[in-house]
Amino acid sequence: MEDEKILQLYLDRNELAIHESAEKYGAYCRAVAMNILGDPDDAEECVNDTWFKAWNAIPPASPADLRTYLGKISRNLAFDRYRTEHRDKRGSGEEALLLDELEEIVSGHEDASSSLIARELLSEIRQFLALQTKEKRVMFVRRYWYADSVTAIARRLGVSENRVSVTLNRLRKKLKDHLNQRGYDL
Amino acid sequence: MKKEELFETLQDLDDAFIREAEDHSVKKVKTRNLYAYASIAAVFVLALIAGIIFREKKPVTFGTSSAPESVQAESEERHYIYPERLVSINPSYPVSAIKDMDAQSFRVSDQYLKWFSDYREKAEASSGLQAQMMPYCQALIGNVLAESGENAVCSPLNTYIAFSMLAEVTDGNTRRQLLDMLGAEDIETLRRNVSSLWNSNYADTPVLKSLLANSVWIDQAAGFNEKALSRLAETYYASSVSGDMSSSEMLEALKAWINDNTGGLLKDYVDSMQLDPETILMLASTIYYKAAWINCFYTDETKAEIFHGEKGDKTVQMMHSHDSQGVYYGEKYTAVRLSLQDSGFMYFLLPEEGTDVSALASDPEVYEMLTRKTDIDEATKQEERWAFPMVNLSVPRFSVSGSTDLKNVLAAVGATDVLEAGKADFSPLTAAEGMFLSSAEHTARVEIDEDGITAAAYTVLALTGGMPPEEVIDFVLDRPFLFVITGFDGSLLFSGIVRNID
Repeated sequence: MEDEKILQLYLDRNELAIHESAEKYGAYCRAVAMNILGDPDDAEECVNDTWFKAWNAIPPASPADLRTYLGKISRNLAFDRYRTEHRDKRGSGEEALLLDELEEIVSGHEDASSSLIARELLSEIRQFLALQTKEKRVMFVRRYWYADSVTAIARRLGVSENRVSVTLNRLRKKLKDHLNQRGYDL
Repeated sequence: MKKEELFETLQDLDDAFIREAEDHSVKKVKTRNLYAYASIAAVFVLALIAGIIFREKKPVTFGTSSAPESVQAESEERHYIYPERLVSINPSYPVSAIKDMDAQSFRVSDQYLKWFSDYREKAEASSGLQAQMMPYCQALIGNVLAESGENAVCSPLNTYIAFSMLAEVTDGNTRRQLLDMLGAEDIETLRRNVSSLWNSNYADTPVLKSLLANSVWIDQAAGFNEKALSRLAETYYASSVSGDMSSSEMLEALKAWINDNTGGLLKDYVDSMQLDPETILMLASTIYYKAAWINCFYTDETKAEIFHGEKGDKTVQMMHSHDSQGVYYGEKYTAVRLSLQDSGFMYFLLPEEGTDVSALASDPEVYEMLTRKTDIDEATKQEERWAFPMVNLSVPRFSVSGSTDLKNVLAAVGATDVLEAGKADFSPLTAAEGMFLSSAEHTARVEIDEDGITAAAYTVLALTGGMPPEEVIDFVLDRPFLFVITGFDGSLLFSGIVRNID
C-alpha cells in the first residue's frame, strides 16, 4: 500500500494503519532497533511500540516520509531501552562500540546546556555532512544513525572494512574540528 | 556533553540523509558471503566394546528414542541408508527451523525471532553447567594439548557426551569415578546435564548449524541388558543398529552414518577405519558445526607472510582485519575473541614472548576467562576485564590435526577403574565380567580461512575382555598459539594449539 494511503488510514483512525505499517516497514524498523539493542525480543517490543506511538502522534503529525518517521520512532524507543538496560554499566555489542566512537567528539561531562544547544548542534552537523561526499555521508549515517556494524557498511558500499573504519575515524576527527572552530566545545 | 546525548541529537538528522543512507547500496563485484557457513566442525566418538561373553543371548530390541521435549513438535526421523537386513531404529531429531530461506531473509523474519527466543531460553537453562564442566575441560585440554609437542585439537563437549554415555553403561566405583570426572553428583544429574547441553547446543537454521547425534552399534550375536540400551536411546538420542559386527556391511554402514552426520568432513579418517572382529558394541557420537564469522575476513586482504613455527619459519596465508575487537590481557597471554553468528566466540590466545604455548593449556586464568558467570555482578566484573580497542588482527589460515589417547585424561583425573579388567563395572550393560576400556583414541582437525572454521574429530574408546592395556593494538598470530571455540551457551566446543602450519 502506498504511504499516502497508510497515512490516510492513520488520519481516519482506521486500525488497519498499524497492520499496513507493520507489513510494509516492520522489517525496516526491526533492523533499526535490532542494531541498537542486539536482542530480537527487545527489538520486537520496540517495533510493536512504534506503531502505537505513531498511532498516538498521527494526527496531528503528518510525516512527509513515513518510513523515516517510523524508523526514527523505533530508534528512539530502542535507545531509550538501551539506556535503561545499561544505566549502571557499559553495554556490549555494536551500540556500545559506536557510542565509544562518538565519545571522541564529546567531553563526556555533564552539561546543563546540552539540551539547549542540541538544535544548533544538529544544524552544524547537518552542514558538515552536506559538505561530505555521498559515500562518506552514507557511512556516517549508517554508523551513527542506523548503528550498522562496520562490516555491514562495508558490504553495503562494496568497500573494505578497513576503508570504512579509516573513513569513519577521519570523519569523527573532522567533525570535532568543525564544531570546535564554530565555538562548540562539547 | 555525553556520548549518549550526541547519539540522541543525531536522532533528528534530516530525513533526506537518513533516506539516502537507506537507499544507497553498491552491488559488490566480488562475492563475499557473510553468511557463508564459516565453520564446520565435526566430532566423532566411537566406543568399541569387545570380547565379552554374555549370559543373555536373546536378540536385542531397542527403545525408540526421542528428541528433547522442547523440539519434539518439530521433529522428524533422520534416514540413513543402512543395508536392509540391519536392524535400525532412528530417534527423532529436530528439523531445520526454516527451510527454503536464505540467511539474510531469516535474520529479519518472525521465524528468527521465535527461534532465537527459544534458543536463548535453552541456553539460559544450561548456563550453570559450563562452570561445572570446566574442571573436566581443563583436565582434557591440559592433557590433550599440553602433552603433545605437535599441533593438537580436541572437542571438550563431544568427549563429555561420549564419557557420559560410558558412565551410563557402568556402575559402582567405575561410574562414580566417571561422574566425578564429569562433575556430576549422580547419574540422574548427568542425564539432566547432557539433555540440557544437547538442547542448548542444537541449532539447525540457515545461519547456524550445530547438530549432535549419537548411535549404538551392536553385534547381533551378543546379548545386552535391554534397559541400559533403551536408556542410551532415550537419554542420549542414540539411534540403534544391529548386525554382524565382523561383516564389511556393518563397517560400511557405520562409515555412512559418520559421513552423513559430519558432512563427509572426516572422510579420510573414516575411510581408513577398521573394526576389531572382536567388537560387539560401539557407541558413536558426532557434532557437526557450521557458523559464520560476524565480521568476516576479506580475501583481498590476505597476504603471504611468515609464521614462526616451532619447526622453523614457514610462509603462510595471513588473513587481516582492522576492527574493534574484545581483547583480554592475561598474565601470561593476550587473547582476542571473534564472534560467531548466533553462536559463541573463537578465542585466540597468544602467549607472552618466552612463554611456552603449552603452559596456556593448563593455565587456570584461561579457564577463569572462559567460564561464563551466572551471577550478574561477577559477569559484569568479568566483562569489564575485556577491552575493546581497534585491533590490527593477523590470523593465519590453518589446518591442524592431531591424535591422542584419552586414557591419559582418565588416569589424570582418577577415573582408573574403567581401565582395569578386574575393577571395571559394566553391570548395567552385562553381567559378564572382565570388561574394560582398552583404548581411547581421540583425533581431531580444525581449519580456518576467511569464511570461518572447518573442524572435525573423533574419539575411539575400545573396551575389551582380554588383558588390560583502546588503543590500536597489533595482534599477530605469527607464532604458536592456542584457540578455543565456544557455543552460544558458553560450552567449549573445540580447543587446539597451533605450533606449526604446513
